[in-house]
Amino acid sequence: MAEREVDVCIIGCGAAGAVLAKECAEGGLSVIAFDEGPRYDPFRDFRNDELYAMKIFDRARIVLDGDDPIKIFMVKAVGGGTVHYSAISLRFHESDFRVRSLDGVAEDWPITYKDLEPYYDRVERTLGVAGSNINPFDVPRGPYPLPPHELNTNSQVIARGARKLGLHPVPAPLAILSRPYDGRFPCNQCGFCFEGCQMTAKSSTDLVYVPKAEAHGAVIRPRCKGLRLEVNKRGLVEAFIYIDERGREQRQKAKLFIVACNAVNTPRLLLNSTSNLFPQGLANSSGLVGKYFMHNTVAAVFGRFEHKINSYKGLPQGLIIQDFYETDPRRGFVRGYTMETFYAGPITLANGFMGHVWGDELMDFMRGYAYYAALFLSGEDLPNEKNTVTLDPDLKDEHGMPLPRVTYSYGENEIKLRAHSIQMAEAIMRAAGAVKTIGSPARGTAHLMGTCRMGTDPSRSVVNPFCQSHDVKNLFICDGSVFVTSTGGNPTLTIQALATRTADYIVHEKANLLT
Amino acid sequence: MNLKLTRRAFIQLAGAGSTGLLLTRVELASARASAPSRIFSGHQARTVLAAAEVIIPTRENEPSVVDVNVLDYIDREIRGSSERALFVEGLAGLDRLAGLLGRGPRRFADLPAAQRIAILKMVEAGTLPVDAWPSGSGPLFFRQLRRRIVEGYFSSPLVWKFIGYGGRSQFIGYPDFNRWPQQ
Ligand SMILES: Cc1cc2nc3c(=O)[nH]c(=O)nc-3n(C[C@H](O)[C@H](O)[C@H](O)COP(=O)(O)OP(=O)(O)OC[C@H]3O[C@@H](n4cnc5c(N)ncnc54)[C@H](O)[C@@H]3O)c2cc1C
Ligand code: SF4
Repeated sequence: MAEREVDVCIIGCGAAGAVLAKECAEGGLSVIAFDEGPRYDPFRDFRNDELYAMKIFDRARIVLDGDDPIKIFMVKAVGGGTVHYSAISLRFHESDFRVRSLDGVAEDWPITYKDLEPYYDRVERTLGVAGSNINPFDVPRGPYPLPPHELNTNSQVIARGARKLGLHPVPAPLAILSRPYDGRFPCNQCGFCFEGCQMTAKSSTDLVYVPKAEAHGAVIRPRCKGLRLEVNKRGLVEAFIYIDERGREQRQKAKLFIVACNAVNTPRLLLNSTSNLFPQGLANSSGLVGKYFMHNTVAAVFGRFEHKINSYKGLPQGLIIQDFYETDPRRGFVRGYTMETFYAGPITLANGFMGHVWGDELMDFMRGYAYYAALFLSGEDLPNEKNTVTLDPDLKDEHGMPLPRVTYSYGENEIKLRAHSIQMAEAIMRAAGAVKTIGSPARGTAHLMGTCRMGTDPSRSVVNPFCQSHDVKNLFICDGSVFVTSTGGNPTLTIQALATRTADYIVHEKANLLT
Repeated sequence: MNLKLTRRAFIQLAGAGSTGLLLTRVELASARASAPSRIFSGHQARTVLAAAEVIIPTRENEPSVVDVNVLDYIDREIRGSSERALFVEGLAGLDRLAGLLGRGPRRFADLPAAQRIAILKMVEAGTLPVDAWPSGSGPLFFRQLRRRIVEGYFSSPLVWKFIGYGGRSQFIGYPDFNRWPQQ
């Protein structure tokens, strides 16, 4: 059964996909967007319950490999990772686009901060980002759409420690409403952002972008799992093949296709789309699909205090510190990191952050649950061709699609950067009055980047600066996978800004692209 | 809390004809476990709890893995899933290792805590003689066992109270989220 041909078929309706759907639909194009996950109703489906949330957020089956195999977190749902995320919404800094020129490593992006700036503005307004433009390290910018959130105790304690060291803690810019906005409620500091926001205060893309896309005629198809793209004799994508919600194989035709399945599932879908014309996978003449996988170097530090901090109360991710974001040659490594306050429920701490210990060591830690302040350290991970997403040669999912295999090893720069970030976090904790500090190796990541990077040279990149495949004219790839570098922050706002820019381009160029 | 359980457990044990007077936690566990488990035999349940007790060791005044009925959680979680086979194989593996440790037919659940810890560390690291665990599933088994025990334990409101976690807070949120720690 074939469905009516549309202008634009979007595969993956997460952070990027939902933005693309809205912007293309508003631009007058007919849009259909598929996601393998369900569509949640926050009030009905979410609860302030850690264990329950762990169950509804499907664990992806991914084969892990490399010297530092890294556990991958992603969310199968309309809204993708943003349903589950903590909504820290950072812009890249100007230097992030020019790492090769400035530091002699990695690559420069084929675009600059100025190219993205208007799109950052637009996305922040649509999401209702709350923040304060007092961060001395941020790019020069106007006010945020909404005022910042009040700091919870954890953030206050850490701010005090950081200030004692002469650092510059500032409220984190969050895609979480601090005032009623766009028909949604403001945050009431329940502290359960990871579990999905029942108040609809967190601006996940399923709540913000999807309804707007639908209002402009876009069709959203949850629980449809994409298997591959088929090409015609002219080397253009002709159809998207998927398994629908009832388990039947279907074909969707469109003039233009956008893959937005995240930096693990996008290369998986492309590599699974082999044909006579493209024997090594779609859009892969450079051989770089799946190469240069990046996340952010991760670590976490807990400071044990004599008095209760109750960090689980309120928005845990209220504060960031970017004093160590830019390169400082005296530190012995290039690039840098962002420090972010965080906390989580007891199961996440015991199984995730403290997953490496058990017995007395685990219980000694957990007895202090109410007494910790905590910092999460998100650092720049330099691209390395050996860090990859490939198709597992043996293991397959229930639809017969090969499982993705993520091979990852930290490089020397990452190891030094990470050690520095831990040292600084410990210093902040001590300055704040912590009686002891505990480090977590935090061997998991949700920041997935690289694997289909953008560039101007078709032999050294997969897509052009507008996220269009070099090889296949009616194929766009737009999500974390087009990132050239990972930066020392969080990726999602930039993913959304890139998606907005890509959609603008498609709408603007529709006469050429949609033929 | 403990007291009440002790009495109930004791009655069950006594009813089953036990002559033991000095009840260790593990024995308590088996007494409670033998009835409700739908997927483990009495002995398997005893083995799970003998492991749980050293993975989450608690003090006298703290809720124990038995008090919060971790076994029941695991039971519900892995029933009807492929994890069950992993557990059944793993529990037998623990007994095999216990047998290697000393003379005579010794079982994991009968070992003192220090030896149970030593065995679990070997299973976790996968540093086992091949014939003691032919399938090589030891480290995976340990990961799942540890994970399920932690989930069962730390999802209990009893434990939340003990560690000072507030749990669910909607639909009012935490109004005291920004209170400065009292000095
Ligand atoms: C707990 C947690 C906290 C986070 N906190 C932050 C934060 O504070 N700040 C920040 O910037 N980022 C954060 N992130 C990361 C953020 O969620 C991701 O960066 C972002 O969602 C990635 O966007 P994406 O569009 O690339 O992919 P995704 O959002 O992952 O979207 C991809 C979508 O494609 C769908 N899909 C995949 N394969 C297929 C297929 N074959 N067929 C059909 N559909 C498919 C998936 O179901 C998914 O919905 C967090 C993530 C998690 C899990
Ligand atoms: S803390 Fe605020 S944004 Fe987070 S889940 Fe609760 S109400 Fe939603």
